[in-house]
Amino acid sequence: MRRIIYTAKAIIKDNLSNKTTIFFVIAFPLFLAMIFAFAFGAVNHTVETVVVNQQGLGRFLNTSAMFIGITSNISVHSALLHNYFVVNVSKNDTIIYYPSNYGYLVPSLKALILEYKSNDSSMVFTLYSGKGFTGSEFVISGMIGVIALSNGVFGVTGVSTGYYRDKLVDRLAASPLKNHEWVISLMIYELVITLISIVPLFLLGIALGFIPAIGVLFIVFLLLGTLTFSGLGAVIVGITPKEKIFVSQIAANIITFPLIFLSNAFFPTVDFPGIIRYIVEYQPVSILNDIIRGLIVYRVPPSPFNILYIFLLTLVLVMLGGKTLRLREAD
Amino acid sequence: MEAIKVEDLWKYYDEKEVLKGLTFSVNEGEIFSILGPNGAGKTTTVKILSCIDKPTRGKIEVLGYSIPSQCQKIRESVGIVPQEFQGFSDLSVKDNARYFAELYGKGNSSVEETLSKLGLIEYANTRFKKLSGGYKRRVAIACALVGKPSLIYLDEPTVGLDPKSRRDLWNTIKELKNKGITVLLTTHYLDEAQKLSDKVAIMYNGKIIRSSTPELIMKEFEKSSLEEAYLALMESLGEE
Repeated sequence: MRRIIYTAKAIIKDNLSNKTTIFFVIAFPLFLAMIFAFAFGAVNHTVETVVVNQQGLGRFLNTSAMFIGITSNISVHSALLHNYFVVNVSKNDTIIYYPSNYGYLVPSLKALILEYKSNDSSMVFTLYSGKGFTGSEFVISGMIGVIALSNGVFGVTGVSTGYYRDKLVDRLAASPLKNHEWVISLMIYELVITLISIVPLFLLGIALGFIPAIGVLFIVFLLLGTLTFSGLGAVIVGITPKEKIFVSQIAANIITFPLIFLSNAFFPTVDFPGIIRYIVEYQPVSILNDIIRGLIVYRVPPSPFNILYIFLLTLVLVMLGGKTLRLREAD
Repeated sequence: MEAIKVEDLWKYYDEKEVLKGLTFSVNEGEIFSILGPNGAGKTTTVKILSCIDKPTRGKIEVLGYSIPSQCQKIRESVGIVPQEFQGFSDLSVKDNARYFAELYGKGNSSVEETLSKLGLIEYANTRFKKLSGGYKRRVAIACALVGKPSLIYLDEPTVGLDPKSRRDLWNTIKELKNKGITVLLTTHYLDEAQKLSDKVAIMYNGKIIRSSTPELIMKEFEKSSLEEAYLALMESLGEE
């Protein structure tokens, strides 16, 4: 334990004294969040999605330039969490579920439905509103999974590759430091930089009007997520031949970027086409973001499936990482 | 009493034989140098004695502990100065030395004294990456010494150093011997080996082809320096 504490402390101090590391820990997540929050328009949708139970109505809404009509078996709860409207039309009755912050669009939607129904004056509308999200809530909460991923994978691959290149690992290999102590020290460093990374991100969120509901569960899952991806980073470095250690960073990029952009970090899952949607929905960053969003935006606990998914994945990747990332041959 | 005892040490990397039945011993308190051309197997030998690499076969004891079964004990007791030592580059000299002292469970008490003896005290707060090659080498030695070892391995310690730094380092190595610390040195510099070593082993193609005192090797080849004797030996083996 003593060696783990001193090694983790040395790694943290060494890396946080380096300007490049500070940039990637603090400025890079902010930069990415701002790009997605502002430049790509995640904050303000100009066209809103309406999930309808009639294909004809969907097609009709698509001609409005105000709404996109789709048919889907998504639950009302999920749809609202994605800021979608849900419209269930029956013969004389129409139920509209809408995200509470989009109430101003309800009259327009009602007018379009009436037009579709040829101004049927007997149509009765029932309205329900539910918690949706703002663009900043969505992007800032989505960035948490991205931070866990990028700090976990790039942190382990970057730090250990640097230490291999600098021959520090050779020196540590000849010291009493044990293999598992080395791997745990690296992971502690990743946990610390993840906690540091989220502070400026949350400050940005607060500046944009998003007050995250930070609780113990959030910290637990944030750290679990970081451990998961640190394990992945450890596996990448571990299976890379040490004479070609730079390859681990290329591999980290190849694995990480699809995990970032094919996730629900910046865009809702249903925005992805066809089969990709299922990949996006069940990949680890999306699962972690579902948990994180549930906790800090919607204040709902994670589903048993998501909890089990993250716990098992953490266990598997941390064990594999510990097995593959060797400090020395003679262990 | 033998600090290192190696009997019939073999090492294969895949199919390639890198070490072919090395047998030698190093007595406590002496400076023992391993010499030989590039690729002779010097660094592999040190890596095995450091418990970084596993031997393919052979009986090896370091400070009475067996390799590979008691490697953790060996790592706790032996100080290492690798060929290209790099500390934590953004930590200060003092923080690097403190870290290694804690790693070896020796606390911080000897850090200041060690830095002072190695002429590093005025650089105590300088980041490791800002130091010259000579000072980095001194930090490497400091990081080995703060663990208070009774045996120290120095792998090519003077490569790339200017003449003054080399001389300073030789004095440091002599002081280690005076303190009773056993030193295993690998070097390309024959003058260095001649000046410092009580015994030398000359390796060639994975084997020890001579193991004796520098004086006896010079006498064998009727040469006035170890370098000339070494060159004569290499010539007899067909090496240019």
